[in-house]
Amino acid sequence: MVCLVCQPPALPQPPHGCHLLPDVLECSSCRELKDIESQISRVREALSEAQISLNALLKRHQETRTRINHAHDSLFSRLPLEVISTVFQHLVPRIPFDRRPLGDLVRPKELGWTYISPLLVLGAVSRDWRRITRSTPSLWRSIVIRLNMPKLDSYVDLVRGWLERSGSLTLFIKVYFDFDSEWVNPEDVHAMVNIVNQHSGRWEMLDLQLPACLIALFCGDQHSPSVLRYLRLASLDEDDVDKIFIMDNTVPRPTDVYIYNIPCASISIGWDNVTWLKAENLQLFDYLQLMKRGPLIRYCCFLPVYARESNLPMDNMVHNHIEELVMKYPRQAWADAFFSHVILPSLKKLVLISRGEEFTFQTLASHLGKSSCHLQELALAKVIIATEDLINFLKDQNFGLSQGWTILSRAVFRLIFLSRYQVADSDEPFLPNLKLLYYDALWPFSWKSVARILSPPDRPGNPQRRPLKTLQLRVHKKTRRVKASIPLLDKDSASSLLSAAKAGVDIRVYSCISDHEYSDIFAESTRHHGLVDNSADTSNSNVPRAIVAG
Amino acid sequence: MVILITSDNVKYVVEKDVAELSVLVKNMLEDIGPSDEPIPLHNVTSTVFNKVLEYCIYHRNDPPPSDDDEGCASPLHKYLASHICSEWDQRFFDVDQALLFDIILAANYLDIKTLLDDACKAVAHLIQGKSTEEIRGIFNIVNDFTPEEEARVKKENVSS
Repeated sequence: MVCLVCQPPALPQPPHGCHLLPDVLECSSCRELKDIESQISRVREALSEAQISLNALLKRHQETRTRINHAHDSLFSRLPLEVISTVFQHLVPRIPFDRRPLGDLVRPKELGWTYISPLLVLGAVSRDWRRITRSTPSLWRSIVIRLNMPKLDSYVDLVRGWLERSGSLTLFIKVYFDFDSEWVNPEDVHAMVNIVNQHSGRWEMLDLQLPACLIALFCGDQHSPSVLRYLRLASLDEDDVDKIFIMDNTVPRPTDVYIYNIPCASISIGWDNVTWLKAENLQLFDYLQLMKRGPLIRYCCFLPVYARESNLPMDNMVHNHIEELVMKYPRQAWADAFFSHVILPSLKKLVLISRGEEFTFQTLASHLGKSSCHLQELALAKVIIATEDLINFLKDQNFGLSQGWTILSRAVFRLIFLSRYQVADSDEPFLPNLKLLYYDALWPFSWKSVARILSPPDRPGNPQRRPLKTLQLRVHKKTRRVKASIPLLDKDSASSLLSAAKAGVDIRVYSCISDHEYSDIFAESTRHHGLVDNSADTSNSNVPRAIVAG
Repeated sequence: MVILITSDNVKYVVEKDVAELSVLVKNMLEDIGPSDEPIPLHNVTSTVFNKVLEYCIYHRNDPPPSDDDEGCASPLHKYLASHICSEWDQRFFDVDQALLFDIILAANYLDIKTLLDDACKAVAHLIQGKSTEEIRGIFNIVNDFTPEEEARVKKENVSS
């Protein structure tokens, strides 16, 4: 008889007969096999049931964890969604329009991570937090993209999702190129730029710090009108590209424009809407062209490059709207050429920042004369001028003096704080209309000299006093190596400044701790001498409050 | 003077300009007109209102908040405004989390924009610069992502 289970093929009968297949239905091996298969089947069923149970448990586990979050995280769950969004918004600030010169920027690598990582961290805390971040479009309005980052292709989806989550809100986009990194696949670059271009109708701020050929890729999506308000274009190379920034089928009309190393002829925008302009690394001809194209410019800052120029216009150009003009690092010849070509009748504030070069003021004085402008504020930084020249120049002008940021002649400062504020043998008062004074002073000097700025002529109520409204001093040590700290104001000086502050003069005196830290030494001094009680009179906003560097 | 009554029936007599920092109170005062009738503050306890009042008194003369962050007076003012914060405000918000969140709720209810904004900044300050794990620790939050979601979140963070 053969086994009913395995039914082995009939074998040739051994010569002496087979003893393996006695008179039974199954052989022992087959019986065992059948048994094992049966067990496997049972275990598989059990596994399947266990898997179902496990899935159910995992689901319950995750749901319970979410419920635990609602119970444990009761503080956050008590807040309305819009308030939580507000908290998150403080962690994900909108990228500001960068008004700084290119050289002042922090390293872009750090910048990108600063803006991107907080939002990703928030979205990774819990499902609730992820849901809130995902459903708050305002958190996704700003993005910083490094166009030559490694693995750019893996970043494309992140940027696509990021911009889509911003809904219909306007966007603040910064795209930069890091010359320390290598070029990447052009296809990846195009894919990334295409995504950004798809949202061109929502660009409110566009900041491109790229080689000219890459700036030219940002041409928009061909059909959306532009709401672009802030435009910053910095060409990082000298590529001879004819049109560097031109959008398809629309001409954006930004109000605030910064350009670096790009002639205005290569930028297709509605210049007639620009009111704030900063331009860097251009030639005099280009600066004059910019002023000509932008008749509504009110604030203008130029950082020139120097080259022999032959195509300057012969006629004077009159610009009726510029109220504030900042010139950084101009040379005497450049400034003379500039001021001899323009007439600025509305000019109210002139800022001249030098690298410690000598200046004479003949051309400027002549310019102010022919412009018939009413200059109200003059800020001079690191400009070396003969004190007598400056005093004569200032005496001739009927404006308040504002000195900002860096150190000017101490002689002028001394003249300001002299209580008998006549100049030398003249009967005329020195700067009788001085309204505001910002001054970066080098320590050491006498605190009494500061108090004397407010001495008799400046005492409130004195008809002879200057109409001083603001006095802000930042006191620096001469070198970082000087370890002695700047001492507090003596009691008399602090008291004198305090009484002026109570009378309405905005007085701030800061001592410099490090590059970015200042302490309010006036507040500290008034507290130290017991002149103010922090818990008492807080109604007068001019009384110094305790302020520390953040 | 304005009479305000908190949810636990504590009565406060507050100067009008201070009370009117709350848009809710200001609107109620406009609705009821000149009256000595106390204004109930249903959602604020006296403990929390004490803090709210302290803030309003200190900031009563502040200029109204502006959305225009470009409007500061001078470059120096702008620079310092971004680098200096008030020690008083730091001390004011140096309270336990529960009270801080109560202040937020009260500011939201009373519609005091500057207080709400400053309190939200204080909470943001607790979170700033922290890792996901650290944030979970601070607010007692459990990771409730499924393994699949967790993998997606990790991939997203790695790709950036």
